[in-house]
Amino acid sequence: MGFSSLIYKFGSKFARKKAASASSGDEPADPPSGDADDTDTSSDEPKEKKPGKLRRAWNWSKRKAAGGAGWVADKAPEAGGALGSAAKGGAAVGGVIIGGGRAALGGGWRVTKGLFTSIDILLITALLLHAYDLKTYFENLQTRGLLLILFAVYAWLFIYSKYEGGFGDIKALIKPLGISAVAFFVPLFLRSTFFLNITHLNDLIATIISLAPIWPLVIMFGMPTTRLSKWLRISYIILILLAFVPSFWYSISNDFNIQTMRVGGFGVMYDTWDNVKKGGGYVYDSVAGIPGQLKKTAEKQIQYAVGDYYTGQVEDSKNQQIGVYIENVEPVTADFYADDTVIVWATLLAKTLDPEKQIEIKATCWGEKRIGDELKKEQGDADPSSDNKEFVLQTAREEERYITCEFPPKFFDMGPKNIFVDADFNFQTMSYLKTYFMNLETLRAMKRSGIDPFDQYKITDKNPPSVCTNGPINLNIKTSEMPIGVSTSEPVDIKLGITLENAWQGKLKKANDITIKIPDAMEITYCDHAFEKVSCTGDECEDGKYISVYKIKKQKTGGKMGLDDIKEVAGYHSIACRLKVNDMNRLLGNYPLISTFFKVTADYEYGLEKMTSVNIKEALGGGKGTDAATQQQKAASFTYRPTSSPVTVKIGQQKEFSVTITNPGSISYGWQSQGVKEETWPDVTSYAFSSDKAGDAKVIFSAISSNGTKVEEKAWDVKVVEEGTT
Amino acid sequence: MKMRNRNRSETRFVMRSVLALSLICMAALLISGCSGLKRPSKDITVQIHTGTTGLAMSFLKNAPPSDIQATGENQRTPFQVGISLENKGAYDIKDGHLLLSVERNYMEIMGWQLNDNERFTQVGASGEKVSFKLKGRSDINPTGEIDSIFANVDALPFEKQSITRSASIRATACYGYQTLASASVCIDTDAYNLNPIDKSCTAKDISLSGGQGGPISVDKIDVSVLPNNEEGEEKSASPQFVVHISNKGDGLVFNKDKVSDACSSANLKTEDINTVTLDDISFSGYSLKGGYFECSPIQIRLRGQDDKFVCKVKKGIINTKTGAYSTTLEVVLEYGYSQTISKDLAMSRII
Repeated sequence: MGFSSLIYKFGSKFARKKAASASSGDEPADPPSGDADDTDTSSDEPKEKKPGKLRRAWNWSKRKAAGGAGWVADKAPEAGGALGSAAKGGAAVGGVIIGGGRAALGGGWRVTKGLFTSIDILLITALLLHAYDLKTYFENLQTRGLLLILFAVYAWLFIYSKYEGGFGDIKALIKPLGISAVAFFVPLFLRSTFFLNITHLNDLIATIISLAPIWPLVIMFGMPTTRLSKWLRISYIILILLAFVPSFWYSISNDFNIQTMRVGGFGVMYDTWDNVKKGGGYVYDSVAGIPGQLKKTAEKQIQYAVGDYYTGQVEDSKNQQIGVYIENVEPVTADFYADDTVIVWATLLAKTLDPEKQIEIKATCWGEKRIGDELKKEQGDADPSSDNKEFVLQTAREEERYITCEFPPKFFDMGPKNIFVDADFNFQTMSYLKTYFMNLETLRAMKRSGIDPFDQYKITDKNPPSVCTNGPINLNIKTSEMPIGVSTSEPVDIKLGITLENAWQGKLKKANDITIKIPDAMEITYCDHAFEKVSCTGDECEDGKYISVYKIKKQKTGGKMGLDDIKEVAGYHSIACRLKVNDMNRLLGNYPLISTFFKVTADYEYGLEKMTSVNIKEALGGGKGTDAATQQQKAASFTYRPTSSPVTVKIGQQKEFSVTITNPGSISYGWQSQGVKEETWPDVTSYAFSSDKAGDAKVIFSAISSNGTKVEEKAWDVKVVEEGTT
Repeated sequence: MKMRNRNRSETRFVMRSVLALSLICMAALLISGCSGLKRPSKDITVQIHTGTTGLAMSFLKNAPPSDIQATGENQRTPFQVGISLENKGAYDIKDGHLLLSVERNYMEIMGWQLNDNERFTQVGASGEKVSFKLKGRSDINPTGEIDSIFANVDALPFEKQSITRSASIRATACYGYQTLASASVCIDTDAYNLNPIDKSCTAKDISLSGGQGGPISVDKIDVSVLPNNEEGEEKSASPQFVVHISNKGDGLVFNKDKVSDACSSANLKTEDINTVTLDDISFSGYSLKGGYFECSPIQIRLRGQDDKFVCKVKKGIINTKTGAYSTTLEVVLEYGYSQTISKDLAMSRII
């Protein structure tokens, strides 16, 4: 018996009790026949005086079912919406909003009729609220909190206070507030585990918070049934069954090795225990991580409130993926035997828009290994084709490479293991803030005359945010209230705040350079970091627009932080400076109001990390170490990158095609390209295709066995296009 | 004989016909000539001093374009900014200033296409400002002068890691302008009806709507005549006019002497802003310039609601025995005016 049926059964009893009391004059009489779902209509329970509050909600519709006319007569004036010939005919029309108790007429329908009941409206609102959460990815905490409080108050006013305590009963507010609190904190708690960078757990969490919305579930399963809630409930159950049950059983059979019939009672227990431990570890890590995350969030909010955390926005990248990305971190198979080489694939994407600034990416991979009681990260081989364990890529344009991470046989002990793919790279982020200046006297005169200078000069972006280029670090800049008045007769103190904010799931490993550019008519008078004014060089000068720039010193100077102090930043780092205007006429030129820019450029090294998991099982035959005979029995399998075809390549761009061969045995293999580029490459597992002319091509991988029979062939269609083609 | 008589009567008929036709033509000419002279003249007078627009400004279509796409790295992308100026008011702009404002980190003004156009002259070497003159509506040109000017602007190269920018271009015009309002008023010197003569008119307040061909509009004139407390038989009355004015445009009104400052970074003081100067007020040969009026204030500060000034004819000028008569009151206001147009541009570079 399910929870809802238990509640429902209790509700039926309450309805009968109500009916009984009605017959004694307090409440309406029972309808001629019972509820269709009510299986316990024969017995009455006069001793039961009052149902629990938890269940009375369920009984609202039962009260209508048991005596709709009476209910309408009793409650409709409060609700303010009851109409009804219900009192005599029993055809109660009306209800809380629109609709109501067909119950009496139908002899006890639980489904309230009409267009919408207040429960329907509550349910629709809850679903809209959940849609908002999904859209904002549960991130907008302030708005979420406010909406959930408002929702609780709404539910209290229109549902709980009416049927649990009476209109305005403040005690009845506790329950909806509690539900809202759960709805607020559960996603917050679950999301806190996101920061642990546990990829598959992230997916699970995203699934849970998306498919188990607290308020809609409470309304659908814990409140009286309406037509809408009934259909939504059925749809929801079907959705869950269809979505999860097959994969659930597959997962169980997979995890418990049912398909290989290797499962014994103890085996199941061991595996279960392992999974419990692993899950417990995640939960522990999540819980342990919450204070840190809350502290971080609180710190950020406090810094923002006191003005030491500056916000901005990221430039529209027009769907260009700029920076370095690790994607598709996947093992070639989810389960490895202990004597297998564990292979994990990852795609490394790099794109920079500055051809003069090369990015150097060092990719490494690490596996979690238990050494004694400690879980340590041990390095795998990210470049099996060379002696170096690091995969190094240098690019000044756009590259897409596949990384193969190999861990030798017996590297891992048994059980689920996390494997991390790291990429450290140098990158540059530039940010600019549009700033408005005008003559201080004129500004004051306009303000005294009630004139907004922005309106006067048709400026719509009155408080423009700083805009930074795409990348792993957001550079946010903030200055004084605009327009900033400048004067020759009185000094004007201008604040310049800069925040380096970690935008990706990694960390700023170290800062290599931070440069501030302000108009030459201005000067930095103070900074809380060690900045110095230097002559600009090359592109920094922007065709003579700047003569000098401000650069942060490498080391701490006079107690003020230098470059060396900005490292391992996982959150944010702020810098505050003060400026003054040396030459007002030069700054303003001929203009009554001028817009100019503050610019900040940061060069830094960033560390990116992505993770996947594998399961290490005991070697076939229980062997300790590589069993040649077992290896022989296994057939060669091939995993390809890229996985899809056709592939678009720009002229001059190198595109890598690669294959991972598990259990290669004695096969021989090679690559061939046809079309705009004709060439062959034998005995390599990866092939870099590039062409200097546009057109169609075909890249083919083929493998043959020792006796000359073709065992594998894979072909990709390649379209070589001009630069600038999207 | 018969033939002769017949010819004579035919000749007479033709002569009469020609005479009649000539008379008809002359009459037609006279009628059309008179009406042709009178009617349009009346219409033009009415049309010139109406409306609340002085200078109308707009960017020409696609100049500047809404989207600018930079084609290559380190390359400037030239484009044009075209500004149309039309003097829709009833006053000639003699020394207007037009200031083109671009975001200097994104764009650079390369120069104006003046093409020997006498209406525009570049001001200073920096190239962002031109002076202009445009005649307003008149009997000769009832629509006012219209002209346009182009500036060559370069979009500067993008920063290396940058792809998109949003920027704006603004054009600000500053010019001196004048509003001339005229209205028929009744000067009733016998305010207390002491003279037993029938009055030809009675003093009443005048409402003016639709403007007078400039952004500053005279909306209402309260007319009253104040008897002066004098000894002797010859007593005088002082007609008093309370003139209500307002800024009907969306620009900035400022002191008429600060036109150049308004289009520059120079100081504008509080007393310069929203200030209209009363240049003259006159009727029946009595004027402020002629010293017949006492007006307060001469420099009128617009505060946005019930902005007015009061003018009163000085004591001893108009005798109470003059009686009541209708006359035309003219009010001339002078001011500086500044207005801005702007256009947002989306700039991107092709990668």
